[in-house]
Amino acid sequence: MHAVPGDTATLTDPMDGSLVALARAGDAGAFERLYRENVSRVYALCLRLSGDVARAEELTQDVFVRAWEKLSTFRGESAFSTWLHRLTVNLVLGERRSEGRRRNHLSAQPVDEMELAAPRTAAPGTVMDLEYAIQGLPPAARTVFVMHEIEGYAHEEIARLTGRAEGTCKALLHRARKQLREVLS
Amino acid sequence: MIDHDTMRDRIDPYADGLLEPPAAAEFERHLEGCADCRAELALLRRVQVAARELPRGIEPSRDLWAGIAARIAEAPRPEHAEPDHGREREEQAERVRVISITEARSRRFAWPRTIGMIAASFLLIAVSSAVTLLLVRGGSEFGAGLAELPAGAAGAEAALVAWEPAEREIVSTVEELELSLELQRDVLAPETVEIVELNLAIIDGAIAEARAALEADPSNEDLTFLLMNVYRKKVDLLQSAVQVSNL
Repeated sequence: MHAVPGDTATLTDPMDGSLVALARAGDAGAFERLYRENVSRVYALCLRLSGDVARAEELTQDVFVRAWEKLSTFRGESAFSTWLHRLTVNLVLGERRSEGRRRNHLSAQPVDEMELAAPRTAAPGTVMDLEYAIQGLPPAARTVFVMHEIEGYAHEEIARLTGRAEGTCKALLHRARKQLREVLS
Repeated sequence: MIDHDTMRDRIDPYADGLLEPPAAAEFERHLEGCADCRAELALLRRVQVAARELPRGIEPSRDLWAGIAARIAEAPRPEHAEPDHGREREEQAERVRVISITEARSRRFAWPRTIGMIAASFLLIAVSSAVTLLLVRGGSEFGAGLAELPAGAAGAEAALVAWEPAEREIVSTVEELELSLELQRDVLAPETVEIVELNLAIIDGAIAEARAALEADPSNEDLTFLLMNVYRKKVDLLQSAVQVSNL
């Protein structure tokens, strides 16, 4: 388990501090530097949580626009990358909850049941690696797996962030692991 | 005897270290005789290790910056965005006030959007005002609010003795930074140079004010601490300017 969920950077980089100060004052060039330094990390998280390249690109852009708007709330108490990571998780999961509510509104089928049913499978003959297999997981199970196994979040924190019961998160993780074992065995 | 399916359900919690010791011991005894569960557990560990070894970053297949740049051009400037919490709103109000003060002092400049050191000038204005406040009150309450300064120094004399080498060191650091900045002056935008110089002028004014006050009242340890803090602000500003010039 990682000491700091999602990001091992715990010290504030003085250069990042300068770039943040400049970006806060409205310097888009400095913010672009911060974008270049962090985009791969943000995009990877968005891709793994969304399981979709086009959606991950949209979410990545949303994250950086939100970061720009919220820069005044960054206190420099943690590394900028850590702050950005938390913002990414909150934004992506917030979007997921909104989408879930919209779908619930349209369908009488409970979200969990809908997401757990009929997991997608990879095309036959495809050489699958773990990354691909993760993207093939149902959304809810994928989210919990990514947050727990890759990003290092505890079940309690995942439950809080996703708005699900802790027991549900454990069940989703169990399901994800089981499916990945089947795929990779 | 617990059945195989029940034991199989323990694979996950066992791998996560969540089983109570008696249940874990029972599961380990089961593992010794169950090749299926051993294989499942080994596979789970492989998945876990592989997940942790996945790259932390993945480059998007196209550059997303253009879309972001277009959107932030329409968004409010970060300094003007609405913060989330009450404390942040208070800080925001302070920053807005600072810029107003600074702008009022520098109307001859076309104020650039790119200068992050503006806040430093506000801090120094506040510090300068604090010198005046201390002189008027002759008190110690301002010093109590300076978290970075040593608390409970054994009297003004000790504070002054301790301060002299510290001042020499800080002045030396300041001189080195000023030299570095001077050498890189050409790389900075003229507006940036103007802002830095404006801030430095304010800081130097505060230093002079605090120095004069200290000479008049050498036993005032709060003034000593305040002067040290003003120097620190100068070092911070110079370091920021040097870093910006290295971007």
